[in-house]
Amino acid sequence: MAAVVMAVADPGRGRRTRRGLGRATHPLQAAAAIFLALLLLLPPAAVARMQDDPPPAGEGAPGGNLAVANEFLIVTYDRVGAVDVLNLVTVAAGSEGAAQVVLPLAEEGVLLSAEVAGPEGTAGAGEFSQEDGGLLVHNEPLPGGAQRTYRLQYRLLAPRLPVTLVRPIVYPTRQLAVMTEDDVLEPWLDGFTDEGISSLAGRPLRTFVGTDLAPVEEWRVGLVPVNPEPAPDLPVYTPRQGLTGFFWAALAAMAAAAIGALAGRPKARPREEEP
Amino acid sequence: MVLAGKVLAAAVLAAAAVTLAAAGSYALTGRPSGLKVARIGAFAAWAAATGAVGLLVAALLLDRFELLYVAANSERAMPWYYKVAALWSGQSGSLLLWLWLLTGYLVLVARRRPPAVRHIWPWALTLFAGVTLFWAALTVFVENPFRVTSVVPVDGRGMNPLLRHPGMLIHPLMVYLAYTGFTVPFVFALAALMGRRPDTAWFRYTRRWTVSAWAFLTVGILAGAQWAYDVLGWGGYWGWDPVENSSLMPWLTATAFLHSAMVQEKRGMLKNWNLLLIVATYVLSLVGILITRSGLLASVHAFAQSPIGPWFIVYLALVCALTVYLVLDRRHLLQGRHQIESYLSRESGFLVNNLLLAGSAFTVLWGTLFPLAARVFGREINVGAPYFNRVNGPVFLALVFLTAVGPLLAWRRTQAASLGRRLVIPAFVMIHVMVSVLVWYRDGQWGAALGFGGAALILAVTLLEMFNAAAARVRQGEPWWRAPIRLMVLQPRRYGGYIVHLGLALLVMGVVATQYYARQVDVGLLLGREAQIGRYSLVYQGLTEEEHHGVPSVYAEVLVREDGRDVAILRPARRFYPRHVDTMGPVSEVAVMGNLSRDLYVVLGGWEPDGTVAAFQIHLNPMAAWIWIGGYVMVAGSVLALWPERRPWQGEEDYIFADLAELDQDFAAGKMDEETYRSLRAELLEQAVAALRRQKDGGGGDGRG
Repeated sequence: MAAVVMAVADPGRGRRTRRGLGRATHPLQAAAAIFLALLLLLPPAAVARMQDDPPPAGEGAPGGNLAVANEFLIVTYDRVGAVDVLNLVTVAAGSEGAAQVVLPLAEEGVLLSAEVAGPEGTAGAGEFSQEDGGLLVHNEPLPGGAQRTYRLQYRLLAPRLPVTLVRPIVYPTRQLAVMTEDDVLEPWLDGFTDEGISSLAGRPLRTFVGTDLAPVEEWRVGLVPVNPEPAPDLPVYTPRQGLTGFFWAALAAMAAAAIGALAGRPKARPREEEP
Repeated sequence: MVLAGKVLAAAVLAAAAVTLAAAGSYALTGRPSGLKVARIGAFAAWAAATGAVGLLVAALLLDRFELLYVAANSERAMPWYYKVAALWSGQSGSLLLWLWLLTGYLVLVARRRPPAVRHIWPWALTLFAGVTLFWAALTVFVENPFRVTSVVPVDGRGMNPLLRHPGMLIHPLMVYLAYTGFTVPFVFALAALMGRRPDTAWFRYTRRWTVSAWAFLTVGILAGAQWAYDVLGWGGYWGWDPVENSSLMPWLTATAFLHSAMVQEKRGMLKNWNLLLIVATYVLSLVGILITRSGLLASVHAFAQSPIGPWFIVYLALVCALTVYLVLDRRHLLQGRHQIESYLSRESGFLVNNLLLAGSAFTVLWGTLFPLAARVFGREINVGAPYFNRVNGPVFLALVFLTAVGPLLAWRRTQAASLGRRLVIPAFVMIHVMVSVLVWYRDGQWGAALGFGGAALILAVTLLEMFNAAAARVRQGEPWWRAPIRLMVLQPRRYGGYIVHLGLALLVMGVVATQYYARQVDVGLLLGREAQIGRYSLVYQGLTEEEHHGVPSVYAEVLVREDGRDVAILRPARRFYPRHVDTMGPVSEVAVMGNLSRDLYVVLGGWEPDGTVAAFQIHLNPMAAWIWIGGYVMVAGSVLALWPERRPWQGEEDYIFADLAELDQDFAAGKMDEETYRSLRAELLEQAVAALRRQKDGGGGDGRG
């Protein structure tokens, strides 16, 4: 376990803590708003299923009786050089007693804030510690049969796109939705279904949903620009196809050599004798 | 079309048979009617073969899938140039092409009877007609390209995807031109024995044929190596594969022949050796066909297999038996006129060069056929690159040094002091290069230092020789810009050879650099992540799907950064050929960013279904371009050597006068002492007088043997 312990959104609590990076920046605020709106807009049956049918608890994972009821990754690219991620996770505990919740960040992600979402979307306090592998541990165990929603904000430094978001799936996950701005980023995912575009908080978001995901050590989302900036006149090297200029040049050279040889050939002296 | 094709193929067979009978009768009886019929027969064979090839090409272009060959080797979506290339991508088509080229050479040989070889020419024509008859029989009875299918498919299977590369448009054609071209010196060599005139006339007459076949083979090997480099996707260009070896072996023996022929020409020595070398060249090219086409040995290049193996083995046995019989029976005619007088002479140099080249050819043959021999004894043994590199590496290195020193040696005897004087500057350059290589690269190895040093020695010696000769002309008042051009025009053989040596030096540099300093990284990259090789970082930027000529392809976009600066985009690909993907899987197409100092070579190995991870094989091959540049400089040199002389050379005295001019030049350059010069000059003058006397008396042949 790493020594870095954070308490965010609760300044001054604990001596071993340091302040988070402050309030969410504008895009992250927008993303939070989107999340709340999304909860309202989700199909009622799906919401009912999430609430009424707690997912099976994970086995062999940290906190073996925990599972993720639903999770949202809202990815925005508003500034050059960084991809911002708002991660909303609802973790449910089985009935086998309290367990500490472990939340994964993306590899090389810089944590901006982590908090427990209270009722009605209000943020609550929480004390987190970060492990070396980028896992964030909430120090307050989740009681058996309880459910808790976390809101993480982190930033992936991406000097250029595309970039890959890599993280584990720690608990069995009933549903995971990846949302990206439709005209900005295209997520590359395997086994997720395209749920179409929703316009939320004035932004068109395309949602990809995966269900019943088992824990894996490495889960990846490629984030590819929809309209990549044109390369500044870089030469492009593709495999040789068809007849290259070199082929025609070689052919022309051979033809020229043949013509030259024939044209320059002196006439033979008439010394041949037929029998 | 089918019937016409079959009729034309049969016509080639009939015409070849007529030519054989007529030429044989002319050789035995000397009746002029035989000569006339033989010439008509040869032309008819060529015309029929041309018609057959034209029909098959038309069938390929018009998608006539009722022909088995077209259905198996072409498809509608293929671009026109690959449809034409399908002519040589399958067995029966390539045999027809071979037959066509052979008949072309037959017509060229039959067209004219040069006086210098008039006594052996009828035998040569007879043998050539016999060879043509064999190939025509193979085409008609074993591998007829005009066979039809019982059910006509809607579309063909298409050419093997690995063959769809520009290199394949040139490589087989050049190799076939070479192999068929070697038939000319081969038949004249045997004819010289049959006509009991194994003098210098036969190889003087066939020199152009041999050099052009050698040049074609060089281009063929280079184009094949480029194809392997681009298509096989392992970052190399020569893997000592049986098929590669089968093209190298005749090249080695032909190279040996081109050198040793000069010894016979100038000194009347190595007669039997030259005969054996040219026969070996021909036989080894047939062994190449046997390996490529019979399926005897597994090879990445063996694309067509058929039951021609037994036919070839019988034919090879006949050729070998005839050669052995003739050499043994006429051995008294093969005695040399002179002995080697000094170890420090050009003939000694050529002899060592020949031993090394022939030894190398033998070791390659042994390594290639060893798995076959082991199989006879129930064992499966593969002989790989380590054997060939270990055995041939030192041999090639010795050849490189010999190539450098060779032009400095004089015939008969070289003055050691003169040789030492002329070697001072080149040796300094060589040592400087060797030390630089050892110091510059911390992991510098002696092999690399010797290789670069040898190449530097060749470059220095050859350029100095050319410079000195041009300087001598400038001293005589010729403008500096004109002197080198005049030099080449007046002595194209000599300076063509020098340019071949320069090309070899460049090629050696490329080979040594790629052998010793190539780097490889195998890496799986996440989208947006980078891999490092040398001073380049390669950033994986995603996959795109495209389709060309009905072939879906996946390209990886790889951004190349050099010292932190974006410099290029590489797009390696995998192609999914619809009719082959089930059996062969997708085919890799590499992307190469090359310049004179290095090739950055990227192969797309595979990818995760979501595209977030792709596997790459990245090679950094230093100086790889020099292999191709050197190879094509060698070809340019051989074209210069083939360039027609200003005056027509018909009689032996012309060659002798040219030798005299060369002798004067060597003496002026200080390569020999006065005594040697005078003795050689007297000998040549004596030969010229004898030749002129024979000319006056109406005798033919060449009395120098």
